[in-house]
Amino acid sequence: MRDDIQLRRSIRIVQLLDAAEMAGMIPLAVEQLHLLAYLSNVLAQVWELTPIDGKLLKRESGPFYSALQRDLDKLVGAGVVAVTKVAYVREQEGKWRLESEYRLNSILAHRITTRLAAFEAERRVQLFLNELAFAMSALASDELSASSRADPTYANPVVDVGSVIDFAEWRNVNFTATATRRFERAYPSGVTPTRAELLHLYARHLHHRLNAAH
Amino acid sequence: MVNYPIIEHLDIERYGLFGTAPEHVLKVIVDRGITLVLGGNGLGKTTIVSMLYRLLAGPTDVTALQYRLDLGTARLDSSRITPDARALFARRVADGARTATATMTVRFADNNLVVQRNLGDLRLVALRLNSDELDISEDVFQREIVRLVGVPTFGDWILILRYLTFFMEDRRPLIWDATAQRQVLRVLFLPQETSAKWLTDERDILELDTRMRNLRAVLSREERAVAVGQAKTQSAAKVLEELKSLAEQQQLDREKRERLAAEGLSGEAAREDARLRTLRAEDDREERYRQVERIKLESIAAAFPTPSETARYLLAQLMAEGSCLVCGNVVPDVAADLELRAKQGKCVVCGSDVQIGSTRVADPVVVTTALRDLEAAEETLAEARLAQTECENNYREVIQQITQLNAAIAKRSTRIDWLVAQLPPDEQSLHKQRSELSLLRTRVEELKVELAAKKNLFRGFIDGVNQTIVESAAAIKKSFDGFAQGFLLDQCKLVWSPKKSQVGQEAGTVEFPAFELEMSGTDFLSPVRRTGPEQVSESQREFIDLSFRMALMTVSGFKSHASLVIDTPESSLDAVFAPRAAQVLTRFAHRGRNRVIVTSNLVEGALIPGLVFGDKPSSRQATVVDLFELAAPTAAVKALGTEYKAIRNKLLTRKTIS
Repeated sequence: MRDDIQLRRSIRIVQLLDAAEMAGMIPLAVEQLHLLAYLSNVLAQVWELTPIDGKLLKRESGPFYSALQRDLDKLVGAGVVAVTKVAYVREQEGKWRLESEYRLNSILAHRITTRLAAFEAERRVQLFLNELAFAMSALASDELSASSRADPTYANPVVDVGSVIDFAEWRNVNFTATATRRFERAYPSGVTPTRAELLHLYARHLHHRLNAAH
Repeated sequence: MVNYPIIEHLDIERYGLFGTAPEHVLKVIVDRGITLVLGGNGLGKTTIVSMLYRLLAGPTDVTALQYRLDLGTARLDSSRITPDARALFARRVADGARTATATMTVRFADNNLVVQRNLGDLRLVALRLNSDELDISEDVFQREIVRLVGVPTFGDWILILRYLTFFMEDRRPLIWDATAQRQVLRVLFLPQETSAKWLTDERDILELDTRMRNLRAVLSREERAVAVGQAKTQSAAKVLEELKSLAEQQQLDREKRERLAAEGLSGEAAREDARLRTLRAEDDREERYRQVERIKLESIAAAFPTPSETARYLLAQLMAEGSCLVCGNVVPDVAADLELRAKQGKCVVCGSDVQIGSTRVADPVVVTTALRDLEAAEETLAEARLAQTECENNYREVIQQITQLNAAIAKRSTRIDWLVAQLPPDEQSLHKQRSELSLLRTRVEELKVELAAKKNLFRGFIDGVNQTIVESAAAIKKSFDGFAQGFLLDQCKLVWSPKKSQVGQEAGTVEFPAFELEMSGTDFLSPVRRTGPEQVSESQREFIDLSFRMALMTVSGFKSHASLVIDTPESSLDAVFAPRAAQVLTRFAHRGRNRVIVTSNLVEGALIPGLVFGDKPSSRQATVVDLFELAAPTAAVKALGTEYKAIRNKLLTRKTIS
C-alpha cells in the first residue's frame, strides 16, 4: 500500500516537472514544486480528479510535503530528476530547509512520460497539470512562491499554522475548488467556461489577491 | 468589546472577622497595579475574595458552575443561590453578620457603580450609578450590570467573573476546558445579537434533541406494550417471547449506539490528534535530515574540483543516511569510507589526493549530535505512525459497530412491524395501539429530520462565528506570548484549534471556536499540543491559564482595562518560578488602569517581595492589605505573633530581590 502511494507520488513529481517544463517554468524551485503539488491536489476536484493527498500540515512558509520530498530525492538518485543550486537555509523558527531547483533529466524521464501517455487516466491528469502549470506561469516568480497566502484553503485563518489542513481526507471542505467553480458565474448566461479557463481565472484571482494585500 | 470591572474600593463594616468594635470599617483602596492581601490561615483572605465576587455577582450563580467542573452544554441561565450559600459570610462570625455590610466601588469604562450588600444574607442595601441612586432590587442591579459590561445576559457576566476576573480556590481552567472557552469567546468577541442567537439556537437544538429521544423512549415502551398485547390476543407464548425479546434487544442496541457515538467522537478527536502528530513528526524528521545532509554536504563541498551538484547531492545523502539513492541499498561502510576520504582531503569518488584549501571538515561532535537528533526524530515518527494506525483502527472499529447496530436495529424494526401486522382484524385495541405506534415512529423520524436540518444551520452559523472570532486570534496569541514567555522557559504558544463537539446526542458534531496550547518539553523535539492540564507541570499549569485570561482581557477589554483577582497563587509555585510569576502579574497590573488583587499566605521566597517591589527594589510598588494587623487575630497569630511579624518585616522591607 505504502509503495503504491509512493509510486503515485513519484509519478506526480515527474508529471509536474514535465508540465512545468512545457510552461517554461523550469528549473522549478523546491517551494514552487511543492506549491504546484498542493494546487494539483486542491484543484483536482475542479477537473473531477481525485487528489493524491487530501491533507497537509500548514506551515508558515507555504505547502511542503515531506514524503514527496523524499520521493523527489530518490528520483534524483535514479537520474530521472536533475538538481541544481543546492543550498540549505535556516527558517525563522530555526529549522533547516532545503533550497534547490529541479528539472527532469530528459533522457531518463522521456521513457516514463511516454509510458504514462499510453494510459487514458494519466493523460487526463497530465492535461490538468499542464493547464495548471500554464495558468500559474502567468504569475511572477515571487507571486508564485507566495501564492499559498492568497489561496482560500491554505490561507483560511480558521486553520492555524501547525494544524492540519484537511480538504479531502476526512472531510470535504475545499474552498479553493468552490471559489474556482464560482468563476463560472462571471460568464454571460449560456456561456460556460472550460475547466482550463477556470484554472487561469483562479491564477488571475491569486494575482489580484496578492497585489491587493500589498 | 467588553467593559471589565475596575475594582476601586472595598469597605467592610461591622464584620467580626475584621474587627470587633461596633462601627469598625476595613477600608481597602484598590489602586492601579498590585494590591496584596497578606494573611495567615483563618485571617480572611479568601473571605475578602469571596466578598468581592459576591458584590459583583450578587446572590446569583450559573447553576452548572456550582456542581460541575466542566461546563459542557449546560444552561447558562443565572439562578439564585441557596439560602445556605447566601449565609457564607454569616457562618463565619458569631453575630451572623446581621448588621455587617460590604461596599464596593467599581468602574465600568466611564461609569462608577457603588454596590452595598448585607453580609448576613447578601441582600442589596444600596446601589448607586455615578451620582444616581438606583432602586434597591436585584433585577435593577442585574440589568445595569449587563448594560454596563456589554454582555447579553447576567449568566454571561457570571462566566466572565468565574473564568476571567476571579482565579479562586476552585481554579477553573479555561485553556483546557473547550466548552467553557467557547462560551467565553462567544461573550467576548461576538456582537451581542450574534451571541444571543448562538445561545438560543443551541438551546433549541438541545431541547429538540431531548424531545426526540424522549419520544423514542416512549416508542420503545409502546413497542413492548404492543408486543405483550399481541401475545395475549393470540395466546401464543412463542410470539410473546419473540416480541418481548426483540423489543428488549432493540432498547439495548439503541443505548449501545448512543454509547458508541460518544466513543466515536473521542475516537475521532484521537485520530485527528494522531494524524497531526505524524505530520509534525514527518516535518521534524525532514528538518533533522536536511540538517545532517547540510553538514555532510559542506564537508565534501570543496573536495570537488569541478562541482557536480547532482553528485554532491547524492553523496551527501549517502553519507547522511548510509543508504544509496541510486540503488536503494543500505551501505553504511561505503558512507564511512566516503566520509574518511573527505576528512583526509581525498576525492570522495576515486580517492585521489586533491587540493582542498577550503575544505571544512565537519566537527565530529556536531555530526554526532545531528545524527542523534535524526535518529530520535525517526523513532518519534515511527511511534507516531504506529499510534496513528492504532487510532484509525479503533475509530474504524467503532464506526463499523455503529453501522452494524444501525442495520440490526432497522432489521429488527421491520420484524417487529411484521409481527404486529399479523394482529387479528377484530382486535380493536391492538389496532389502535398499532396505528399509534406507527404515528409515533413517523413523529420520531420527523423530529430526526428537523433536528438534522437545525443542526446543519447551526453548524453553518458557528462556521461564520469562527471566522469572526479568528480575526482576534493573532492579537490574543501575541498578548499571550507577552505574558507566558516571561513566565515559562519552554517555547509556548497558543494555537487556534476549533474543537468538534456534540450538541445533543444526534446528527453529528459542530466545530466550536477554541485555542489550544503548544509547548516544547524535554522529551519532545519540537513544540507539541498539550490538550490537558496533566500534560504540563503544576507550576506551569496555573500561570499558563492566567496568561491566557490576561491575554483575552487585554484584547477584548475597553481600552484593555481589567481587574484580576487571584486567591493564593503561591500554592502551586516552586521557588524558581515564584519571581517569574510576580513579574508576569506585575506586568499585567501596570497596564493602563488594571488592578490585580492577590491574596497570599506569609510565605518565604521571592513571590511576595516580587509583587510588593516589582523591579524597583527600593520602593513599594504594591498596596499591602496586612490582615495580621487588620483582622481579628486567630489563636496562631496570638501565640506566634512575634514570629509572624519578623517574617513580615523581612519580606516587606526587602531592599533587594533574589
